[in-house]
Amino acid sequence: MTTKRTPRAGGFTPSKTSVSAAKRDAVWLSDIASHRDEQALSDLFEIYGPKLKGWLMARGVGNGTAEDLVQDVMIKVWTGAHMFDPAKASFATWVYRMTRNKWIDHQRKHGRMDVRDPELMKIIADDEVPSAEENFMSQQSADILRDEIAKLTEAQQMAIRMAFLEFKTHKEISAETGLPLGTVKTRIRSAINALKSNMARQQERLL
Amino acid sequence: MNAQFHTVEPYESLVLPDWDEAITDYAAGNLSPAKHAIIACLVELNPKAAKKSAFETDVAATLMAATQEVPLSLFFIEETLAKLPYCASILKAANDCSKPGPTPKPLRDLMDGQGLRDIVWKSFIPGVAIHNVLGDRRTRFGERLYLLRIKGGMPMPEHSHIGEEWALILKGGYMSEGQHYARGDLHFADATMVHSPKIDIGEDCICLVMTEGPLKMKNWLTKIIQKLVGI
Repeated sequence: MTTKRTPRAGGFTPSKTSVSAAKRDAVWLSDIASHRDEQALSDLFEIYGPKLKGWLMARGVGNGTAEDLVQDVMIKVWTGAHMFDPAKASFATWVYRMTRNKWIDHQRKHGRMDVRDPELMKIIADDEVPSAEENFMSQQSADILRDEIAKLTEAQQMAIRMAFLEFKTHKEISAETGLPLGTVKTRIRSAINALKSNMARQQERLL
Repeated sequence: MNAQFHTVEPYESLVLPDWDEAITDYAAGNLSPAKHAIIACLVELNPKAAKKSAFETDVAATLMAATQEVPLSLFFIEETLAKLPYCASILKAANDCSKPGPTPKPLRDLMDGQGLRDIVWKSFIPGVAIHNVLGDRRTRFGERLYLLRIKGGMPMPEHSHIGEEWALILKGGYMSEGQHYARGDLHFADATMVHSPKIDIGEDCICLVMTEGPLKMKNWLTKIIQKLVGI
């Protein structure tokens, strides 16, 4: 399943098939939860594995470590599939969140100057249970979100990408671009707010 | 199917200016482990922060799906399938629904499952105790993450900071620079501020604190004790 990307100043076009992709993900998840369907898990990670690995490697994670982290996430999807509720979050958000938290956890474990009991660290690292939280969007809304990002102006898309894809904090962006911190904040915030109000309009249309 | 957006509203009543930006960096996965832990706890305690974080995590996930894919190695899927645990452990995970308590889950995860009532506190000065969360000394990022428990009615010793200080209030509350902070509030202080928060009378105050560098205590005695407990 591929999302076609056409040039729109580096932006991406919404996928027409995203709604069926959502249903497909949800069916796979329920197959895993109900009868331990290994094929469904494989299919999910044929699609999402390379995306997650790409996200990690773009942050400077090495090939081997990136795969170790994706493997941990894949096992968590297996053991936690019954907790996934497609009405409460999209699979993309669910799996992204697990990967992001794994990555932070990895930095924590490898960024310490003091060495603690390695066995203890293993226990701490393993106890995070994935959960689909109520606050996230349903899969359907997440699909609309993708379309709405593609509809933002180029400058707004750039600000969103700067915040979410360049892997830098606002302060780092400010230091690198030479833009005052206030300007960086304002640009990112106004792009996010534009996206929010567009989403709100879509929401009204749906209700 | 009901479109389950979290309601979209402007952040008109935000008192804390840096909170907004920290959530974006959190959602994108850009924060250091100590700051990430603070914001993860904030999101659990503060409904407004939760709303913003949920929306921006959706955005980040959408963009993740659009980043450059890197193919998995040839036998990745097969190797992972071979490592899948049996049903027994799946059932265990299902029962592992820990109830929400006074200790936010991200914090409990960092403390080996312990809650605020289980941990051992180290006395700092009379009325003030600390518990280190991320190591006894500084992390690679130069940050410390610790819990601070201060007796009700006490003023914190006057101090300033080398870098930023983020304090998330978990229990009780205090006044600082004319503003009141209570459970679920996040208090930012930067290197330019000298402050001495005054704890509310009656209840002890517990905060989860991240400092980028050691605190600069005004008083020489507190300076020495500070060296001993390592904050």
